[in-house]
Amino acid sequence: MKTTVIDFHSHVGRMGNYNVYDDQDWYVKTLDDAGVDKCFVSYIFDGKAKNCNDIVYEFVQKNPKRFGGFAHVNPHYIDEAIPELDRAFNKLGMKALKIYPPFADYPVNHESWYPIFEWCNKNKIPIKSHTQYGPGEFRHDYGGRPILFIDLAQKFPDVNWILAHSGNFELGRIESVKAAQECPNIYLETCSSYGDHGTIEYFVDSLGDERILYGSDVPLIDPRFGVGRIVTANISTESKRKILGLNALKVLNLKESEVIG
Amino acid sequence: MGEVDITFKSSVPVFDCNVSIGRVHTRRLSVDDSEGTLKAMDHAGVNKALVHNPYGVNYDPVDGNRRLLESINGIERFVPQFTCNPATFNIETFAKSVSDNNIKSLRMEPISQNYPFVEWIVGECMEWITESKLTLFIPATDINPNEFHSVLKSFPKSKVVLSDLHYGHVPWAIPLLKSITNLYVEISKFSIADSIVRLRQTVGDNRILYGSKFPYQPMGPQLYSLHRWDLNETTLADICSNNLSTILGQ
Repeated sequence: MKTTVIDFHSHVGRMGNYNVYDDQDWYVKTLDDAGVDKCFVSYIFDGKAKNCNDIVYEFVQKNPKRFGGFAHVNPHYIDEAIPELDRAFNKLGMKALKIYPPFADYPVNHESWYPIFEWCNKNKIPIKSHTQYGPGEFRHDYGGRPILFIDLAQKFPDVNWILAHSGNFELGRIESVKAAQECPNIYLETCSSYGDHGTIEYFVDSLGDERILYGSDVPLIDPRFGVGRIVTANISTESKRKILGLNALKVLNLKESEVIG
Repeated sequence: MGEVDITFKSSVPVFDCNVSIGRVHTRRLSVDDSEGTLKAMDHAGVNKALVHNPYGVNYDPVDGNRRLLESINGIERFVPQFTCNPATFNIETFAKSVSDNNIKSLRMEPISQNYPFVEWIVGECMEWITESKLTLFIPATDINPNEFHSVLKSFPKSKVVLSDLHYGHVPWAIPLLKSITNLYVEISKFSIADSIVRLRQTVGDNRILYGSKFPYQPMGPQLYSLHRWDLNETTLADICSNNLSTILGQ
């Protein structure tokens, strides 16, 4: 079946420690094989956000039909972050902000983040944050604990908050659903290498199918696997189509023709 | 527009080599019994499953293996896999239980069961496993790669499956699979980019086994993924079921 497929969670940049890379020819072939129309990428590994966003911009410019960019900023350099947000969204054409709280080493609701969130709220920019909360070493607030986003979603109501990985572990998934149930501007994103049997069904049963977004984490996770998590879930065909791409069109305010040409 | 198979069903028979049946203390699993597992198998299009009981790993292999047999209760779609703790068991008693119940594969989780996978602990057991032509499954999360490599080098005729391989294991696991030619790989958690291409290049088509790690993962995604790599039907069938059947002698 043909349906719009938008990957809301992918990366560019070398990750040689895992022997994965971002050669664009490989990337396009992989998206083709998996049936993905468009992939939104970010680069989060450089402490200097300008470098991150330049890398994303250059990558996207080579094939803007298949790729879109998400910006990144570093809250430890807040003096640079706000001008960089302006550059990323008004000059480089980024579509959302990706933040990664584990790098920051303080919780996502720490006030150091607020100038960034205020800017996004004022400009109605979606924010996708890494989230996780789980057993053992993952039981703390510093990884982007999902429950913390309730307060943020209420303080910054014009931001659509996308919880990447939806908490990643069972405890995180429960908190993610609770946060999304309380706040209509919170969305769940599906990529994870820890998703239990029944995870996608749990999201749809708890939240409906309008605020769930397909993501893969390419190139760490192959998109065939990520798409498979949605396609093989025990949910309706219409729900699968919304999660795979139709919901992303709305969140990013895109027309279908901008994605599939 | 993206071409995806929203009503996917496997085109080949499927024998899942990594399924757990039974409760754990740490959480409420979405499925913890035979009935629920069969339903999930039907939904995913899985014909048979090699199953173990988590109690056998977490507390006691004898009781866990007994619970396993009780829970599958002769259902032919389930093939029992016994948990083995070579650091504490009586090998004669255990071997008799394996033989009496026609068990073809064993499971060791050394780190979870608090012993090193070294020859002075597992050597006698490995000799028996090899002579008995049993297949041994060990999760990648439960070994020290160096210890594992040393033992397997000493038992070149053993049949061992490395399961639960994750992208974080790539730096040591790919060299390990190249070095140990009697080592098979189970792919439930191996979803890294180009996963199947990497494994085919490393070990060939006959040492790759489909598994899901159900219920900690759904059965469908890796199965769907396998159908999107342009594999011919023979290779697909080998990975999805024939390789497992062959090493189990079924």
